[in-house]
Amino acid sequence: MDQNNLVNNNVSALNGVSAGMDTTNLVKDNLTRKKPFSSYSIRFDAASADYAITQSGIDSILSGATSFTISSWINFSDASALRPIATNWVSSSTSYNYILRYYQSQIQFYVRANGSTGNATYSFTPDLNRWYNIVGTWNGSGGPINIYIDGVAGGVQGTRSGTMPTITTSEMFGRYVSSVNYYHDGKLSNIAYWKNQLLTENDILNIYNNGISQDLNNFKIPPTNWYPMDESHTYFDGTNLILRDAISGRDATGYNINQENILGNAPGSEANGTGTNLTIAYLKSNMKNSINNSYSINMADYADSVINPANSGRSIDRP
Amino acid sequence: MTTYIVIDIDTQTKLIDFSQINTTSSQTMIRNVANTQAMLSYQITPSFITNGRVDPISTLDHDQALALLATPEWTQPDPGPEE
Repeated sequence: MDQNNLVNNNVSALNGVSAGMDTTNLVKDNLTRKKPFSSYSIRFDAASADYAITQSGIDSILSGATSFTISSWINFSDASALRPIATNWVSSSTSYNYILRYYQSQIQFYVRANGSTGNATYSFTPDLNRWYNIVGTWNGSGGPINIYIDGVAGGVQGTRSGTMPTITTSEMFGRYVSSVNYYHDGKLSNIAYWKNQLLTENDILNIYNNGISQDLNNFKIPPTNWYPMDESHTYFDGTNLILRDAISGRDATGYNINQENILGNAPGSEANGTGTNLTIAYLKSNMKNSINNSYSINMADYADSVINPANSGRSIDRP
Repeated sequence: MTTYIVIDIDTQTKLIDFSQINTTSSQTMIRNVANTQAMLSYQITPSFITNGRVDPISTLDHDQALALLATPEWTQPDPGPEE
């Protein structure tokens, strides 16, 4: 007798039998479905001129890049006008570097290197209030510029060979500065950069992850900068909403946005509740089988550059 | 529910208490092309509206605000990202 005799017809009479395969044919599936990394996102209102921006005057994320990949999650409330995703393109500063945006039923991705611009386009009419994963890739060697929507490459490939210049202007999320300012109207989540890394189509399909955000620290190629824009990586500093860079600390500062803009709606997690008129005092250390908890109030784990910063014992674990 | 108001920049900006509204400051408020009017937003009606200190040109909801922003007085077609 051999394994062909191991059939239990009481369980299933429709078992398949492989031919010419053994256990070495078992491969680990690199597509996973699990709890979303982010349950909240940031809402950007074009009519309120909402945007976030990184610090200028220092080398920007893609300064001197020879290739890069940008991944973003976007959800449109209105798609009747130009809606920027991530840009570093400021006409008034004659600093032209890249633009990832939606305009005129296209995702458009512009890259400037060696003094000239190339761009890819991808025809796209978004459903409103639905999450999309938009990825742009550029390889300065040979110059291909590509766009992926929900893990699928498409549209018209662009070309621009070379190296990006030294860039000291800011990354902007949800804003594009041209002759006038353009703003996103909807939500953004988990914008990540891979400088000098050209992710493959398989990598990008993994990022899409069936429409669910994931912990990019555990991604096989960790990004160089990552803005989760969620409940764990966003805080209000008293004036502005700060969007943490979970990789390298190059935080972005939100303008015209505050705690009201943190919504319980994120890729793969669209039914979270948001408290109204609830304060920290309503957070009770008492729940089923767990009644003796404690929590801190007004303690900051991220109190950089102050005298005697609060130290709860996890000061390197920034929100 | 967010409410949007349009104000005259020259006469009204100095009367705005930005701590009561979504807009961070006069430097970040959205302006029309002529730079004569600005749009501000809030969820809770600020006192400078209740007490009449600020006199908006118009009060809008989100759809009306986007419609206004789409007019030539407030935006321009993107000429293309060329310098």
